[in-house]
Amino acid sequence: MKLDLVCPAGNLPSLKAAVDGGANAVYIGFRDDTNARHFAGLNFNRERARQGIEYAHARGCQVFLALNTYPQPATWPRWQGAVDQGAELGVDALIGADIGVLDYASRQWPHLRLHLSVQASATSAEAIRFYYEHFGIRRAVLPRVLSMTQIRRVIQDSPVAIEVFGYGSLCVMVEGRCLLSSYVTGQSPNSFGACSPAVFVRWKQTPGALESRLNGVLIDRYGDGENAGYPTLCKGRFKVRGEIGYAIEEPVSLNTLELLPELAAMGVAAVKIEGRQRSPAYVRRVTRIWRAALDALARDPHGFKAREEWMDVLKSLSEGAQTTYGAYHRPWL
Amino acid sequence: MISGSRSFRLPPPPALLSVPALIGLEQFLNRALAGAMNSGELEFLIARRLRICITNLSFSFDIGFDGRRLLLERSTGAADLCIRGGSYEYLQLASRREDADTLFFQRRLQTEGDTELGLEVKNFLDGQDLSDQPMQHLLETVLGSLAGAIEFCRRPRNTAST
Repeated sequence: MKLDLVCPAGNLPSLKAAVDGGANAVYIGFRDDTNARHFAGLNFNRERARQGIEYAHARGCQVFLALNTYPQPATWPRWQGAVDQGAELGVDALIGADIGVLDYASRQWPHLRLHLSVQASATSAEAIRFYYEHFGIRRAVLPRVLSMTQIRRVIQDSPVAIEVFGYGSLCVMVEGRCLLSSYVTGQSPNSFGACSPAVFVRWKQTPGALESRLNGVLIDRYGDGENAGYPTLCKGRFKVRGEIGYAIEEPVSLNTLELLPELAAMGVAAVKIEGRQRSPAYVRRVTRIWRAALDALARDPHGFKAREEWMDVLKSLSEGAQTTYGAYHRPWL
Repeated sequence: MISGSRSFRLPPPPALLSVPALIGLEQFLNRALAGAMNSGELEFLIARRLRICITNLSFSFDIGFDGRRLLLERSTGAADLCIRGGSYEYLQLASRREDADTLFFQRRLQTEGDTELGLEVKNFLDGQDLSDQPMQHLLETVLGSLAGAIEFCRRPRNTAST
């Protein structure tokens, strides 16, 4: 089965880099809280989205629209408007999480393809079936908490195609339900669309260490020569039983390139690259490597080997400049 | 990992030379970003002071925006945000060979002050589509070649990376 490559774009140059680099699909968001990368100056207004979709479609690449945050009663019209705008612009799929958004999209735009976002945190075939039966979703993106065995089981019983994360910064909690950022900032990432919003973040160089703080709370202190990560609470250092260390997750990026043959064999439909907040340079380099890897896999599924130079570049682009298999290689069943 | 900029130090430029350099850069930026300024994309910079520190040149300058033009001057007083990095890192960013977050993770780029302003600046620059502006595109290519040449010269000869 052919594995599709789904790449991130936070702006038009990134979208073009992804398309030119060989992405099968690019995912984007609008410039507001309707998506989970609601960062200052990032994302697409209507005109840029139109240009991006035109560019991608002219080159045989699909465009997915992330509408994967949770509206509040007062903000519902914005999500409704975003669904309508996406459909009118001709996106190839809408990536949603909230059941109200999915319900509205499926009724109002019955021909619009729906994907279940990782933010919905559906980790079983039963949960996915619910979304399939009620809203007709065609694909589900699995949260990054499942082991390879668990992914295989979900695929076996899932009524829809399955997309998994292949590379990028890790979200370690139950995605779409994580409250760590809310705990420190009072702002929910699941409805506001940003974890550790920049307005709460301060970096300070102190003698011998770089400190990151979120709303005044010390997240981490990187010694000279230590690589840094995003200032999220899950990747901060904690004092546990007298020892200071990473208690939840280290600053690290997921990289499953070496697992590609296994993922393809179990029937994964698409791999997703994280990073709409990153620059066009990141998108260009990561997309090219993954395209080359997927092409190599298609040519010779049994002889596939992740090339050292691919792994080196992916490592150098990673958060904390290190990579992990994440939950994929956990022993749980 | 690529070796940091600490080993790549140059003497600070004479003050007399930096003035025409800043005037030239100011003119270039105002021309290159005219479209974005007219469409209001730079309004987030009004009444803000962004400081660019080029650590290996021991040189810094401030960028402001009065609503019509970008204004560049030698650093004075307090800034809302200070970005610190070596000239090679800025060259890599300007030529879009490297991603700001990557440099940040590798401790080769630092920000201090208003993080959101930094994010606005980064995302504004990332979002500039130069593909239909031949002169800017050419400049990006030239800067990229220069960064590539420096990268090549600095690469250890025995191994590609650690």
